[in-house]
Amino acid sequence: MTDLQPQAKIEVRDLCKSFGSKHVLRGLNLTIEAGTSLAVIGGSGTGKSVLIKNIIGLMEPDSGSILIDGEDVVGMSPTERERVTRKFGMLFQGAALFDSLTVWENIAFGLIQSQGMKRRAAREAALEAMIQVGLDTDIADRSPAELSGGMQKRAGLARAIATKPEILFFDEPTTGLDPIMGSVIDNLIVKSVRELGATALSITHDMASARRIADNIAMIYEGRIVWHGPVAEIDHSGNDMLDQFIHGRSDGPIQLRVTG
Amino acid sequence: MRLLRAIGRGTIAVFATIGRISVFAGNGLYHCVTPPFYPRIILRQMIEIGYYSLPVVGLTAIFTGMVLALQSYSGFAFAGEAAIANVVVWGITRELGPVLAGLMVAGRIGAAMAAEIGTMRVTEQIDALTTLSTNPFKYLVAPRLIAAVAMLPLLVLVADVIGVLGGFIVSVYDFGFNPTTYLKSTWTSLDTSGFVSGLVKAAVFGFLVALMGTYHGYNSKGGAQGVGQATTNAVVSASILLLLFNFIITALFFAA
Repeated sequence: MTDLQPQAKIEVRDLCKSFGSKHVLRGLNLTIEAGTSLAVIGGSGTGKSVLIKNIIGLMEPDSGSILIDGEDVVGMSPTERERVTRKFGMLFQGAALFDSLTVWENIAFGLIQSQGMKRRAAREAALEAMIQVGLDTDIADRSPAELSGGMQKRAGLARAIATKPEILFFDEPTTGLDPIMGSVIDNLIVKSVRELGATALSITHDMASARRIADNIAMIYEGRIVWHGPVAEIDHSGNDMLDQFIHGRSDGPIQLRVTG
Repeated sequence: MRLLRAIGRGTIAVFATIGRISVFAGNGLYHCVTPPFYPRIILRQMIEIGYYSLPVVGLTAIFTGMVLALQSYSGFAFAGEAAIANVVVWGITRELGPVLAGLMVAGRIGAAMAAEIGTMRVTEQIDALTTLSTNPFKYLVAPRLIAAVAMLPLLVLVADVIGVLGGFIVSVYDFGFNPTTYLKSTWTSLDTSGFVSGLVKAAVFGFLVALMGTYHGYNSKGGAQGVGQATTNAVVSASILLLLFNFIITALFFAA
């Protein structure tokens, strides 16, 4: 029965998360169909990162549910949670490469640690992933600290895709890169997601990047999704908040509280 | 009223911290005894803690042994060489060996652990571990606890030998004692319970240093400043806890 309908890969229902008196997520609902790429856009401090951290399991929500392949992961035991986490791959904003390991050990990390692959085979797989993201295999034995920002992002992407995950997360993939490198990374993301047939969730405030990597766009504001639709419709959505955001206007329904 | 409130708040904060550290320690211990284990990382930590601390611990021990001999010579001159050997052996194996080695390791290793794990925290490397289905407690905390508990007694053993040697050097070359008689009195002064208590202390100190290093690193926040703060806290809290537990263990061993 579920085979007939397009199944939601990720479904977030009524998600709430507060830090003290600060309500970051206020009943957020979001559905991502399998095999599609969604970009969540929104300003700083609107709850984008908190949303992604809740889905991955780095944070526990106060209430609401998160369904991955129809399974509610909120309140799961650590062992069960780990089984679900195996479906994930994530590219962090600062790449978050382990600086105690070499580049190839970073990329092969998931293969060795969670899939139990032998080091030699894992190294081969890592080199393959490096080629896929356009990294020169000569740097395999270098330390991540020796790489440029763009190369670190590529290595981070290679690490995220090496385990062939079903769901990929991208946290501000273009932040800190020059526009050309940003575009290169975006294209690599699109290519990798397509090759894996993965479902992708990105958070970004870079509209150019969102247009390149996403099929659908969801805009988050004050802890809720205020608009959700195909990327082709964002320019005539009729939604004032979305309009204000994509055109970067300072006046509109979204008022930034500038203090200090 | 305001005073009471301040006292109350302070007390709650202290207990909250003790609670958090206990939960962290319990978690860490649990992951020490459940697979998967990371022998490669444990080994690397053992080399870092054991081997690379040898020069610092050795230097501390030799000078302490020498000073003990010098001081006891002026204090116990009337009692002769047996008394000096006795003071050196007791002082080194029971107290100064473990405490000084522990403090040196707290400065060297506790700080390094807090800085490394703290940096991993603020650069999202710990989050990255989770997304790669690796439990950060198993990968980062447990190997350090295991390595520190295993290596500190060995370091203290070395410190004991070098410290006694320091006393020997001063006694023989400075005071002109007979080396054979001095060694003989050293050997007879050595008591099992004192020696064992020193090694037990060392294991406990190793645990405390690694626990404080990993705890403060793991919970650091706020970029470079937060990591600096974590490093300071790790060393200071490890040193204070170490001295506290030194007292407790001594009381348990010898107060009866």
